[in-house]
Amino acid sequence: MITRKTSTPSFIARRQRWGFYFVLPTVIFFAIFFLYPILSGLYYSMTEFTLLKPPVFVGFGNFEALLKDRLFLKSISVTLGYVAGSTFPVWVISLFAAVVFSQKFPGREILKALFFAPVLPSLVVVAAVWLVLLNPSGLITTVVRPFTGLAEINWLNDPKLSPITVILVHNWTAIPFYMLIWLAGLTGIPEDLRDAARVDGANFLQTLFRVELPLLRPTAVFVASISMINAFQAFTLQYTITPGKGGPVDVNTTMGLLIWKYGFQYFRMGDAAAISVVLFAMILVVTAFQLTFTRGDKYSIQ
Amino acid sequence: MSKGNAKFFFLLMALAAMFLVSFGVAAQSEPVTVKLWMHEHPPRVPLDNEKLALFAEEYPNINVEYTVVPNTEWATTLSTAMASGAGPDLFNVDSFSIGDYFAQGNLVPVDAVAAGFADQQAIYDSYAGGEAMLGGATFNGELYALPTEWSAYACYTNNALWEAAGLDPNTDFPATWEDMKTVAEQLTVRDSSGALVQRGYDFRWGFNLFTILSFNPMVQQLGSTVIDEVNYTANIDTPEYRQVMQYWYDWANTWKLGGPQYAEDRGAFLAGDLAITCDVGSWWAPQAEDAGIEYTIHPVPRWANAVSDNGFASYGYMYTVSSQAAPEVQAAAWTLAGFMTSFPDEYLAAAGLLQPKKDFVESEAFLENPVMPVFLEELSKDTFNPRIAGFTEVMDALARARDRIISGGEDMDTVLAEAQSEVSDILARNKPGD
Amino acid sequence: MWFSIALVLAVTFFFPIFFMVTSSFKGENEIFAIPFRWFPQDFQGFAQYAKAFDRVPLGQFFFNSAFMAIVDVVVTVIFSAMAGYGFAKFKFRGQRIMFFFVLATITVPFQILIIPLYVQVFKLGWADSYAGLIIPGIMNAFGVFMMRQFAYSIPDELLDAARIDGAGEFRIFWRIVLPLLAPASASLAVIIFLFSWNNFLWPLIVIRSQQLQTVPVGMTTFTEPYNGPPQWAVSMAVSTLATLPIALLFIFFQRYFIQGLAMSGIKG
Repeated sequence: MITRKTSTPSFIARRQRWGFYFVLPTVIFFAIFFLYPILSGLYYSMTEFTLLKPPVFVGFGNFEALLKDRLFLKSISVTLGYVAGSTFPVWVISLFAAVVFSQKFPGREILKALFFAPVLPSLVVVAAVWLVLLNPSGLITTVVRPFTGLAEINWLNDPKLSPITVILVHNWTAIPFYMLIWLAGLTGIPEDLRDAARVDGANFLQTLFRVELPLLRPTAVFVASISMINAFQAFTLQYTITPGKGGPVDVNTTMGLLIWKYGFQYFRMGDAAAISVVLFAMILVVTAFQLTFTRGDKYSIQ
Repeated sequence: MSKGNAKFFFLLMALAAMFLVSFGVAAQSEPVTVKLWMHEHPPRVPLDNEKLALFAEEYPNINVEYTVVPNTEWATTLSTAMASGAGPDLFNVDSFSIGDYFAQGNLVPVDAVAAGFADQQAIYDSYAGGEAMLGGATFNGELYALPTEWSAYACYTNNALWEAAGLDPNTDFPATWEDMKTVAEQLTVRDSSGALVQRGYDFRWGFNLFTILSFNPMVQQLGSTVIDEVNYTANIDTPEYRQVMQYWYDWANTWKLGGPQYAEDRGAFLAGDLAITCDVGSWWAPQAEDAGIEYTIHPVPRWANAVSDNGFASYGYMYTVSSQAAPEVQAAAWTLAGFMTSFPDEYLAAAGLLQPKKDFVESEAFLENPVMPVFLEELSKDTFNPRIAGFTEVMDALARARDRIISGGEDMDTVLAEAQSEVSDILARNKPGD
Repeated sequence: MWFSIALVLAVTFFFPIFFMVTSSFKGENEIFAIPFRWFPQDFQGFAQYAKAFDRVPLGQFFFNSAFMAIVDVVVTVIFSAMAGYGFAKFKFRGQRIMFFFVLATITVPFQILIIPLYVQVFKLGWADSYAGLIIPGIMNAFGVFMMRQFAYSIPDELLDAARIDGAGEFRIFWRIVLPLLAPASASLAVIIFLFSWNNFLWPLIVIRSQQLQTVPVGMTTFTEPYNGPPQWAVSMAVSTLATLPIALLFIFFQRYFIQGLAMSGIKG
C-alpha cells in the first residue's frame, strides 16, 4: 500500500485519470441533453419558430409580445396563486403530521403507511380518482352537504372554486410526501436534547418550538423551496383534472401548461421557449433564496 | 495493470453506445413503399387491413406500411411528424388541420389519373352533389383530397326516455331552437333536491372544437359568418353571435337545462342520462345500438328567424398526399387512395363512414337505410368547418370567450369585443403568404 | 390522543385510495350510489379490469412503462455510481467544474427543457420511438450526487489493497465499489423507478403511436372520454393497476423507498 502511494507521480496521475473516465459518460450525457438544449432553448426564445419551418431570429420580440399577451399575464397570476396555495398550507400541515407521527403510540407504523399512500399513485391516477369524487353531485358534495346545503357543487367547473379544488387535490398528494422529509429531520434530532428540555420543565409545545423547530431550519427551508419549485412547474394535475386542460376560463392555466399549449398545440415554439425562460428566471430566484438561507446546511446542495 | 481493464471498460462503453444508436436506426425504406397513416376508428381498422390485402394482390409493386394513430393526439402527431420529414406519404387528414397543412405547402393536388379517373372533373362527377360536395377537399378550385369520411351531425333521440316523458320523437321533435328549449324541459328529470338526474338536451361543452362545429353554425343560421376562411377574418361582436351566446348562457344558467359541469353529451346519452344529442354523426349509430338504445334521427333545429338552412358544421377526414414524398411515391399513394375509396358500401356497413359516391348514395341499399338519408340531406345543406391555419388557437379563443361569459359571468359586450380582436390577431398571424 | 389524531389523518388521506380500489370492483352505477357503499354489493370481480384491456392495449402500455423504468433504473444506477465514485475518490483536472456542472442540472426545471429537448429529439429522428422516450431522461444528476455522498464512506484502504493485488480500476469499481454502494443503489433504483413509472409530461409530448404509450399517458383515454359513456369503474380499475407496481415496491422496499424519497425531494 505504501509503495503505491509513494510511487512515481506520473503513475498517480495516470490512476487519477480514471476518475475522469468514470465521470466522463455522465458529463457527456448532460452536455448533450441539458447544456445543449438549454442553450438552444435560449436561442429559440429569440426566434419565431413553428417547427414546420426553420427558426427566424426576432431578438427580444417574443418577450415584448409576452408583455401584452393576456393569456401569459394571466398564467403568471395563476401560477403564483397555485404556488401560494400549494406551499404554505402544505408546509404547515405536513409539519403537523410529522410531529404526530414522530410520537410513540400503538399502530403508528400502519397509520403512517396509510397516511403516506397518496404519494404512490401518479398524478394521472390522482386526477382519475378525484374526478369521480368531485363529480358535481358526487361523494364530496354529499359529505359537505350538511354545511353547504347544496345538492350540486361545480368543484372543477366554477372559475372561482376550481383553482382551490385543484390545490386541495395537489395538497392531498403532497402533504404526506413532505411529512416524510420533516420526519427525517425530526428523527435526526438527538433524544437527549428533548430530554434536557423536558428536565428544564419545558412542556411539549415549548420543546417543539424552542428546541426542535430551530434545529429543523434546514429542513424547513428545504421543504419550502422544493415545494415552491415543484409548484412553479405545475402541469400534470392541471392537464388531467381541469376542464379543457387549464380551464374553466384559463383559471388553471399555469405557465407550465401554457408552455405546452403554445409549444405543442399551437406550434408557437419561440413563444413557448420565451415563457420557459421567464419561468426559469422565477425559479432561479427561489433557488437563490434557498441557497442564501441554507449555506453550509445539510440539504444546501440539493 | 489496467490494459485488460481498460479494454473491458471501453468495450462496455462501446456496447452502451451501440445500444443507444440501435434505438435510433429507422426501418430501411424500400423503393415504392407508401407510408399510410390513419386515425384510430376501431371498426374501420379491420376493413382497412382487408382492403390493403386486396390492394397488395392487385398492385404487387406497391408496398404499404399501415399505421394507426390514436385520436386524441392525431393533429399533433401529424404536424410534428410532417415537420421532421418523418411523416407519412398518404394520410387521413381531418378538415380541422388541413388548413395548416395547406398553408405550409405540405399537400399536393390529387393526381386524378393515378387515382383511376380521367381528370379532376371526373372525380367531382363521381360524388353526389359534385363539386359542392367536395368543397371540404378543395382549395382555390383545385382538389387536394379524397374523402374517407364525410360527416354531418344530426340529432339522436333516446326513445325510451321520450316515452317515459309522454312524448313521441317522431311527431314531437323540435324543429327550432325555441322549441328545443320547451321539449328539453319536458324531458328533464330532477331529484327532490333539484339536482339534474336526466337532461333533455345539452350541448357539447367540454371540447373546444364544438365552438366551431355547433356554436358557430347556429350563428350562421342567422346569416352571419363567424370565421371567414378565405379572407382570414372574424365576426364575433355581432347581434347574431349575441343571440346564440344568450341562448347557450340561458341554457346553462337561466333555464339550468345542462352545462359544462355535467358528463359529456355523447357519454351521457349512451348511459341513458340524456334524451337528445345532436353532436354526433352517422358513424355513431353502432355505438347507440351497442348501448341498447332505440333511437330516431332528426335534423338539427334551426332558429325560428333563421336565414340560412344549415344544421351544425360538416367536417371530414380525407386522404391527402405529402409534398415531401418522392414523385413516384405520390403517384402510388394516389393509386392507393383511389383504390381505398372505391368501397363506400363496405365502409358504411362496417364502420359507419359515409363516402358520398354518387353510385352508392343513389343505390337502393342506401336509400333504404333507416338513418343515412337524413345525414346526407344535412350534409348537402351544411357548411364545412373553416379550414384555416391556426385552427386550434382560434377554437380555444372562442371557447375562452364562451366560458368567460357563461361560466365566469363576465359582461358579454366586453368579452365579445376582446374576443373579436383576439381572434382577428390569431387569424392575421396565421394567414398564409405573410 | 396522538393515536386519535393519527387515525383521523390516516383515514382522511387514505380514503381516496380505498375508494379507488373498492370502486374498481363495483358496478358502474354503484360508484355514485347514495348512501355511499363502503364495499361493492354489485360485485364485479375483475370485469372492469377486463373491460379496460378490451378498450386499449393496456398490456402494451404496461410493457412500455416497465421497459422504460427498468432501462432508466439500470443505466442511472450504474452510471451514477461510476460518476459518484469518480467524483468522490479521484482528483483530476476539471473535477470541480464538472461536478458543479452536473449539480447545476438539478436546479434546471424540466419545463425549461421540453421545447428545445423535443426539437433535438425530433432532429435526431427519435420522436415517437423508444429512443426518444427513454434516452433524454435516462440519467439523473440527483443519482450522481447521492452516490458521491455514499462513495465517500468507502475506506481508501480497501481500494488500495485491491490495487496492490493488481486489480484494474474498472475491476475495482465493478467488484468492490458497486457492491459497497448496493444499499444506496437500492434507494436510488426504487426512486428512479417511481419517477419513471409516473412520468407524464415527456411521454405525453414525445410519444404519438398508441403502441408506444406508457401507462400514465395511455390511461387518459379513461379520464377524457371522447365518444363513449364515462366508464368510472373501468377508470378506477386502470388506476388501481397503474398504482400496483409502486405500491408493491413501497410495501417490500419501504426503507429504501422512504430514504430515496426523502433525499430526492421530488415527487414523480
